[in-house]
Amino acid sequence: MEDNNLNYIENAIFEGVEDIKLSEELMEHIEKWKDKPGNLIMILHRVQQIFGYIPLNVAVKIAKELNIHLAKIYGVITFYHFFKTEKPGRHKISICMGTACYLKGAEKISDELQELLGIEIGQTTKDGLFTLETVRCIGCCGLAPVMTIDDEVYGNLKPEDIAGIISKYTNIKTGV
Amino acid sequence: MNNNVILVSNNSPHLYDKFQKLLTEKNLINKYQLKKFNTFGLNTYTSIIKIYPDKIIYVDSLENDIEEIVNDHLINGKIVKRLLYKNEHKNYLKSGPLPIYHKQLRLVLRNSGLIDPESIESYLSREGYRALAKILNNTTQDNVIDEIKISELRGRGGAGYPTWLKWNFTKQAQSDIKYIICNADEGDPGAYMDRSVLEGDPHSVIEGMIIAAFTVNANNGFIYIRAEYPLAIKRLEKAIKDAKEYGFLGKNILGTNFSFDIEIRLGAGAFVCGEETALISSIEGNRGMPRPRPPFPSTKGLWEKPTVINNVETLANIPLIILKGGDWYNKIGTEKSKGTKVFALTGKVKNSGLVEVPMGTSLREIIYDVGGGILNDNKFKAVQTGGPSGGVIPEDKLDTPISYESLNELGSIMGSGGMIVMDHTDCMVDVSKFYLQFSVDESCGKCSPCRIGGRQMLDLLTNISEGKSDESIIEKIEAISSAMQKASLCGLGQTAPNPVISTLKYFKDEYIDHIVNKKCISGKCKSLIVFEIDKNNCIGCHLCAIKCPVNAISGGKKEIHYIDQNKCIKCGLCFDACKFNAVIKS
Amino acid sequence: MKKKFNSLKEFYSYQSNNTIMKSKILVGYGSCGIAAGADKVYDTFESEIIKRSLKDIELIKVGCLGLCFSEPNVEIIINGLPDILYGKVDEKFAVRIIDEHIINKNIINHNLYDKPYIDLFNNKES
Ligand SMILES: Cc1cc2nc3c(=O)[nH]c(=O)nc-3n(C[C@H](O)[C@H](O)[C@H](O)COP(=O)(O)O)c2cc1C
Ligand code: SF4
Ligand code: SF4
Ligand code: FES
Repeated sequence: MEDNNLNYIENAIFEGVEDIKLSEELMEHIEKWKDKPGNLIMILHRVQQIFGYIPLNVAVKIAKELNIHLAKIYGVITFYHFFKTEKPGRHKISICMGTACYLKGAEKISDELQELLGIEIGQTTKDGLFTLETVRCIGCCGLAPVMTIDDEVYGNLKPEDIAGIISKYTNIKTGV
Repeated sequence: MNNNVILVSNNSPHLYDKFQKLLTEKNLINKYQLKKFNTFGLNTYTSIIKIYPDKIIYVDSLENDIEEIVNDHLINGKIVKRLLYKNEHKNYLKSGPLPIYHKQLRLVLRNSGLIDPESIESYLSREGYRALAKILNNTTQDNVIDEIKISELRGRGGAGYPTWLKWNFTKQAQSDIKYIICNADEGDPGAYMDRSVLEGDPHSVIEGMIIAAFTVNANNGFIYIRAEYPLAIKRLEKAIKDAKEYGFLGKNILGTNFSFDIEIRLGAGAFVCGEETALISSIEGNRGMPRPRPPFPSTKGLWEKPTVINNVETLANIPLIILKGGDWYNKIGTEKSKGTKVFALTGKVKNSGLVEVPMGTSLREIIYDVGGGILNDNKFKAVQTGGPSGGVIPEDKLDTPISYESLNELGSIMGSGGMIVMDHTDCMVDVSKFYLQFSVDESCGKCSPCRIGGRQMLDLLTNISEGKSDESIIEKIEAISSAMQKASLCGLGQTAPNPVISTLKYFKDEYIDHIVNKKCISGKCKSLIVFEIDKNNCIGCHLCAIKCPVNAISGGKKEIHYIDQNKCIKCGLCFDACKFNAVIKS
Repeated sequence: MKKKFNSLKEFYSYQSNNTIMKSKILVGYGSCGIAAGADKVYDTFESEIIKRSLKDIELIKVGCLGLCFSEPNVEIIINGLPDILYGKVDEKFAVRIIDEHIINKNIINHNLYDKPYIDLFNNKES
């Protein structure tokens, strides 16, 4: 992580980045927030909503638009777990590691997923299909242990259910 | 329509059968809708029978009583008084949802589950915005403060600070600009009270904020909510929009010269941002790092202006206190903790969910009467309140009535309302490691007692769970704990040792077992468990060997199998797989 | 229905039109209800109501009753019958609720749950 982040700024500062034209919708959003104090986080939220992460060239653009240092944006992105600097996979799998899920065996679910997908928490599969993450309680403790894939919640999980659930998403891919 | 309905609780199936038999015998079976229902707690009453349309509840009836109910009540219309449900004043109570019998009292959740949260009309039909109108109509700011003072409402975000005092500081602060912030960051993992309120009844929180704004002279408000709660955000946005359209927010509210507006600001996955000064820094668009207090936000908060910052649940209480009066509210609860508290009851409990009980209800009542007892009828071990800042409470303290003070005395805290039940399969070393890991991950790193102390303590706990420690380790843990408690800048670091301290206090034996005997009786600490095959039980079905991900199990069909301890990664799959109890965990 | 209250007087003279006594289907539609399948249950009710042209029935998404263990929860309110809360409702059961409970006024002897609350404003104790 650490190294990646360093690359992230160094690239920006020393190699220059490819210019990107932001969509009108995003520009409108930036315009709306531009003069409000404390706008940065709300703008970054929109960027991540659109791109799935905060691409470097977008960050550079925002720094220009808001007339702030890139380092400030970098500081905020790295402080908040929610913001990502790397492009996520097509499907985001989030395993709940809240207390209720932990007590009911979330670790076994997590082990099974890592084994099945061949990646660790925080990584994306080589084919770009899945990113594996953990979250802290999504408020479905009654169904613990739970995970979400994109917006779908899967509850009362057992390790043996995982393969079947994952195959639903890999099949979509081969079907395309 | 056949509106003669008899509902019998399902913990007494024999009573249901008896009804069925008697009604059939007397040829009445077609005149009644006889049904079974699930109760929550199985401990409060041995049986509950509800009869409609008469709206009568009988409790603790025995099989012989059924005949009397059928003959006297159903046939002759005479109520069987001795079986009636009675409240604490010995009044006979008729049916309908009853507070005592359910143990729950829903003030904060008064509308949740009953109204359409996306319809302001739905909120209006249940006294919505009446409290606001009441104070705008004929109340001074001081009156509001007095009313809240009489109610003795205390903050539900964890610390329990008197709400009226906070408001009064901000009211008295000299400034043209003041702010109201609703803290909806809800960071405790395993707790979701605030989310439910926002999803189920967003207007109650907005109305609470408007009343706070009127009282302290604020014109702008912010709701700081976790980005992980998309549904709550959507409903809040809709509610704010509707409130503006109806004239409850914006310029000249209800035609008065009071104006107030609310904006939503999103959190971004940092637990420390629930701490009020960090939260303020986050709204300002910065890294969410706490700063020393004083100055307190009530005098110097958002953009250095006086700011009231309250939790969701605190604010949802406000309209009710204004409507029903501080006196009314003050009658509920214990001497120093008034009103109700919402808990997210989860973990190894049968009926996990949200419960709202009056302060002073005992933990046992919550877990057994509302929660229905322990999952799979396992043995209760401890209940954890307050999340990563709180502690565990063992069996012999379960009768403690809940209040801010009583939980502190037990070494835990009220916290925001997480309540997690643990059974004999949960290891206390593992649990405290889990919470500490959370605090270490979430430490903002600004001050060293928290950043370094937390890390060191986590290493020590890991050593214990891996059997690499001796008895001197407990002293080390105690030393670090006390340094963190005394020297950390914010509540996160100050309270992070609590889960460790409280498990050490009540479950020292379990720690010693890990440290001296290198044993984890719950079988949670992997390094301390060994999986072996019991030669007497193994029939050689080979199932375990198929399941083992690292091929650590050898043995042909119908032969006794063997686990190679050097290969075993202790995943436990063989243990789960074996149908003959031949895999033993020790 | 949109309405702006320009004065306190206007607010006080306003009568909410939500009080008309209709039969109601309340579907618990909080995050955990949805996770357990409340969205599909809601859709089933909606299409069944249209399919059978049922009148005077209101289908409402409500927040969480707190009974996460029995989600999806559905409460049926019909004049004359006790309010009934069903837990663990799926699409098939939703159709049964329409057929048996709503249309034939027969309470179904399956997954009935005790309600956890006392209604603060509308206490139905007589
Ligand atoms: C690490 C930490 C996390 C906190 N998280 C929350 C939270 O998620 N929600 C909350 O309302 N208060 C939280 N608090 C407490 C707030 O700092 C503050 O006391 C509270 O919002 C005040 O509102 P109240 O008086 O209504 O309780 C947290 C405090 C600390 C130290
Ligand atoms: S105690 Fe921990 S979270 Fe709080 S300011 Fe210090 S380092 Fe940050
Ligand atoms: S615990 Fe896991 S790794 Fe060890 S023998 Fe059993 S299945 Fe194999
Ligand atoms: S702990 Fe996993 S949903 Fe709450």
